[in-house]
Amino acid sequence: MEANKNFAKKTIIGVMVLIFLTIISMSIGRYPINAKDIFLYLIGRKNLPPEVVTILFKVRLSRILSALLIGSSLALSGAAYQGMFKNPLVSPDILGASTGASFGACLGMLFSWNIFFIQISSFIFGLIAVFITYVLSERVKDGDNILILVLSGVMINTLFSSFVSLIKFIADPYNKLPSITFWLMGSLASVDYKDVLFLIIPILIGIITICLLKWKLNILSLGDEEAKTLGINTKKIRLIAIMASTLMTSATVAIGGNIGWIGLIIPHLARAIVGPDYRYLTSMSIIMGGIFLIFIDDLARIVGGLEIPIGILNSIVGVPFYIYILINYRRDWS
Amino acid sequence: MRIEARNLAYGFNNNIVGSNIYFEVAKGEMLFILGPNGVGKTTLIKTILNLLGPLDGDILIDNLSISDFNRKELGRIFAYVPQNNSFNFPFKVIDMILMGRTPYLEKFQTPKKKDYEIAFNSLEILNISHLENKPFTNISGGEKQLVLIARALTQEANFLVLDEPTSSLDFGNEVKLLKILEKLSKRGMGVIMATHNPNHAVKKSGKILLLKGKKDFYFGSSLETLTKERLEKVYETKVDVAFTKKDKKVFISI
Repeated sequence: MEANKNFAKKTIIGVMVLIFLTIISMSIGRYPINAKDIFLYLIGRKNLPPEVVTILFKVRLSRILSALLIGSSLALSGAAYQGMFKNPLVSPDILGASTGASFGACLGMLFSWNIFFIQISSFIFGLIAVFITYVLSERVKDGDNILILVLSGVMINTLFSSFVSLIKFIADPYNKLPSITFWLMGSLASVDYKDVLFLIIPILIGIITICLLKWKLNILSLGDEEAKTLGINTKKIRLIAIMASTLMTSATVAIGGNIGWIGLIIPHLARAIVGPDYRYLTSMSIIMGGIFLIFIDDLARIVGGLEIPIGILNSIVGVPFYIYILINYRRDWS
Repeated sequence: MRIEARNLAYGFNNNIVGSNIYFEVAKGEMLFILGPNGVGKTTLIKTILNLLGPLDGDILIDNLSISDFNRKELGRIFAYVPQNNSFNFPFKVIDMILMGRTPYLEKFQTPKKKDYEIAFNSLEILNISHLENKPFTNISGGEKQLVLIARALTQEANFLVLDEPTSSLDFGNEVKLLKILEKLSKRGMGVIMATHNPNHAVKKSGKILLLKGKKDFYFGSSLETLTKERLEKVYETKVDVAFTKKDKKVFISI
């Protein structure tokens, strides 16, 4: 009850920061537009020239929206994974979703498929990688289920990243290799509304599924045995949550390439703000994931005058943070 | 409601730890599972909870096989208090206790006001209302044990199943916990408890399952089954019996 009010306040602040950041981000770019003008235009108090409106809504907003969708879904997947695996140091990459999706996309680029099929292929291989990981861990009888699942993930990750290297090795070094390499670094520089449309369906399915499971994720974070004795079919719930996260992760890889670290960092920040309870953690992760990636993408556009891949920026921010968590993660955050 | 093990063989990975076991326990009774280290008390507890399947024989709940029940149904029959909780996330004590309501929630439901009331009530029964908003990861071992019991109460199950609940408690808390369990059993709850201390089991109304080895076990009422000779055989040590001023039997190893 008290917690609910508190949470509502924090959510409202979060959404306001998100809106504010969106307007600021729309003003940033090669052709600077005053943020105040954008705000006045949005509330209908001012008119802007049509070419400015085109830049704002056709070019910049689509990029900001994809950053929002990608950031939110990666953060939410990360939050779900950390609960499911009872471990605050895991993220959606561990079961092979991103590596599998990367391989699928590289394969498409190697054969010069059109962008739609590249996305489909990325998506399918993301699912395949996680599926193999899951089946593999099921084949191992008894023992610590979660440990075996994570170990299988390590193997499948290694396998698919070798496949990616193999593709890079045989790709045409003047033409295809650079585009594959650049795409793998993660970037939102070339997204448009088609991409937003492609993202929105799998991401909404994933977000809704995970949010519906929020109470069960609380129970799963107690560990397998306790969750079972509290009346949860752990296998079923875990499978549904993994599928939903994979759906989201593969979709994001298909559009933005490898964007790491968000799934690890954001749930921790969100937990520091609203505590570990998934009834609150899910929405806070969604909001903060969006804020974080929009911000990083702004940096990618501003810093240095050329587009720095956000995958790289994320890692530069992410690694020190990871070390910090590693040292302090048992601390009380509530 | 009545739980019965018939010709039960239990273990894991097809390694039989104990076989041909028989016991039965009804609501309002206390069953103590007693035996030396390594005899498989925890394994048996997990088999009773259907976390491990029986390797032979069966566990019957009102004469129906335990395999006929799904997790949600079992969650309303057994409430489990685990031995140690290695837990990474600092949930508030009240939220931890609320989790006991899970077997009663619909598919996508979160706890409602009524569930909170039941959880608060459990806090009061165990006299730990002051812990309500503390993080579970920051309270003492004894307090954790009480919170887990409060969660089990909130589960409103027919049986409370505890795996060596006193192993991390000091003397005072140990006595307190046993008294609480006795009180709960008098209110009609079944209690199944694994323990390594024979003196826990010396209860007039209690039943005991004394495990010795693979096929060797004694089952019966506590006072009749627990004898000096049997304890000496099971624990391979000399045992003496003393009586307190209130005429309570106490076993002492010598």
